[in-house]
Amino acid sequence: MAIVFSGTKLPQSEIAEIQKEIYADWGTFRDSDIGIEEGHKSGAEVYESKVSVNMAAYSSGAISAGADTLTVGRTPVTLTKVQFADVIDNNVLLDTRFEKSMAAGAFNIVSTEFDNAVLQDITPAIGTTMEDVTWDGATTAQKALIAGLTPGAAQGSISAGAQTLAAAMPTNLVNSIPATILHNASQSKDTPGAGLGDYKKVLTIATITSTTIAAEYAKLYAVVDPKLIADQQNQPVIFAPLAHRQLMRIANNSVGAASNQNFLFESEANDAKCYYNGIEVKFKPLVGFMIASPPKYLKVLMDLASDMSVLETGAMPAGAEQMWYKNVQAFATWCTNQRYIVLYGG
Amino acid sequence: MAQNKFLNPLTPGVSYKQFLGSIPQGKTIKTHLKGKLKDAQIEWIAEEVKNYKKNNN
Repeated sequence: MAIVFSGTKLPQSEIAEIQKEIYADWGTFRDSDIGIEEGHKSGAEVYESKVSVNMAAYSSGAISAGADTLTVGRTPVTLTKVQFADVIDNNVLLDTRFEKSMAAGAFNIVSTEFDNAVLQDITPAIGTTMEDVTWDGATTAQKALIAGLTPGAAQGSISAGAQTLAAAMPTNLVNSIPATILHNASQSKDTPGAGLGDYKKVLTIATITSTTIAAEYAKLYAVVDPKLIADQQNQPVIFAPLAHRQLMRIANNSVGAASNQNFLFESEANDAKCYYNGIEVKFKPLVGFMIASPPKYLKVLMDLASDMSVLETGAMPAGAEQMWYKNVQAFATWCTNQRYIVLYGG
Repeated sequence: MAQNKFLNPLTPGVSYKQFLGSIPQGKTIKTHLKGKLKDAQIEWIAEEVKNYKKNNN
């Protein structure tokens, strides 16, 4: 006897694990890979000092005024307050697997499974976003300032390539570290005030591929001030785009070529520490730029770094069956001792 | 004549606008710089000028 079925056929099982997005943590905040300065609500003053002295012929007489300079620069930095917030309507979850974890009673529409499997990913997603905005992006105003600089090839001029990269950056509410290095209003620059940063750039750069990466890192390394290389207390670090780890591995293990391992990895592990000529390379979501600098010269100013993982939630008022969540942070990037910062692509 | 004087783009303070203005009409950047800068420098400057023109259009 034939079976006659009428109606819509539905899947009768589900894959138990909800397949998730990857929320990357590049260690900027967790490991304090740069100077994370906490305790600032809306603004902070950054002081920099520089002393230069002159050798003079000995005299047993009274000391007269000399030509030494003791310079102190004070720069106010304004933090931007940002938030991640939204309203969730759990009614959307009806007619899905999440119904099963809702308490009995038509009024109850909060799914514990959804909370544990999806809602809890808001915090790591915020962390990923904060990493991204730290290393890439600029405000509309900052983009205009960078575009307004006069480009040139020599040191002391922004390169046209840097202006192209800055224009292509995501437009954010805050400035990334490269954007701040390119243009800032530090009072401690050679020419204090708003304008081009005092960074050093790398001339004659080329597109980075697995075959050119060693040569490009050599150019970057050559521009780093020897004083930094020699300073054991304040070693520079190269901050590089994430994809460079793969390009370096490919370069180190180039097919059919003689072994010429320019990049030293501590192990074969994919998260192994990496060094180039003794300088640690840290991989960050940079786009187009590389930075060689002591980490403490690159700063993120915040109220509390742990603000990043604080998510307040609550029910919407007046009987609404919705809930809100909100994360609030104060944020600014800054750079000090700019004359020692090398900005590849800058 | 001032117009024939070579303006090195790698000299501090020289902008791309000034450099482009110094290239005799009809000459490409690569031809203009040939023999005066290293090949890698010429390639980079040519790429930079492309970016400069794109940014200023």
